[in-house]
Amino acid sequence: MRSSKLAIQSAGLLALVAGLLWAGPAAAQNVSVLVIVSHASQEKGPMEQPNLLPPGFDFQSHKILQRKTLNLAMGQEGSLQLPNGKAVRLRPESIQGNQLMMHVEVEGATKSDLRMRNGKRVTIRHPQRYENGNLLVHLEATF
Amino acid sequence: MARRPSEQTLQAYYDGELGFFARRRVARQVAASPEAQAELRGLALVGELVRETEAATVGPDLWAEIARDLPRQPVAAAPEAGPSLSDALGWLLRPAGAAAVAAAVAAAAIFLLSGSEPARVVDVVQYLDPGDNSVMLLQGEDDATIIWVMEPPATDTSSRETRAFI
Repeated sequence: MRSSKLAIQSAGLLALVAGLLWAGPAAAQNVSVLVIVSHASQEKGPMEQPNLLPPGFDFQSHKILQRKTLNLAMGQEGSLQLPNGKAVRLRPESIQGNQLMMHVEVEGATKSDLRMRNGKRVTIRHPQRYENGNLLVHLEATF
Repeated sequence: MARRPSEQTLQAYYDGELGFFARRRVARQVAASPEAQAELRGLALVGELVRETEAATVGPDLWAEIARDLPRQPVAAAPEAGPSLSDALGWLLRPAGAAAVAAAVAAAAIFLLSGSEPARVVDVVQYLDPGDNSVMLLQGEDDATIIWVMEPPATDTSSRETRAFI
């Protein structure tokens, strides 16, 4: 009787430890978000990383202005200030399968919930004119 | 020096929706601005893509369905999984207002043309609040998703006419 009670207690303890071990890495999982801010213009100039530009537009110059990697835990907000003074705020929410749910706010442009795939880029164009062109915010998450 | 017309004014100009005087004014501005001329060429390209796509792949009632669905779609009702194209565009268009309709139709055409998985861009963008901005969703190279936020309309008199660009 006593041994069976002990066995039940041990099993419960084991289940608790196993549960903690299983839940631990997921809760602690960080994501790395590469944020690149670039300036695209139809004025002639240097053309850096043209692969970041959307197809079908007649851009004559593209310059990388900022590049920053944010390492964020789930629910943690990271931010970055754009050259036009507006902020970019990111908050990873959860990982579902191989996709990351992330809240992204680009001040003066959009608020969005994105389902990002590992290593796949999302680009948001800021509508405000900046130095005869527009700013582009490129996001790429690794998790 | 002539002012450069806003994107929305150019769109209205391209669509032939400006009044006589506004059209002449924008034509002068376009003639004086290589940048505006380039944007106009871009609009022509998008228009061509839309026409080709409508002819090639889109059923005649799709856009009517999108427009009909708009008033019934709550803004927060972003699709959770497996949305149809018209459902997805419904929630997408509404916050951006009427001016976004044409833009997003163009965007739809672009991702329809872009390959085998036309719903991919919509899968990535689960919810979008563009405020007062109009937005196009595009598929870029390397499977990138592009949220193209249009410039706000200019505050001159021609901008009021762009409101008629429904």
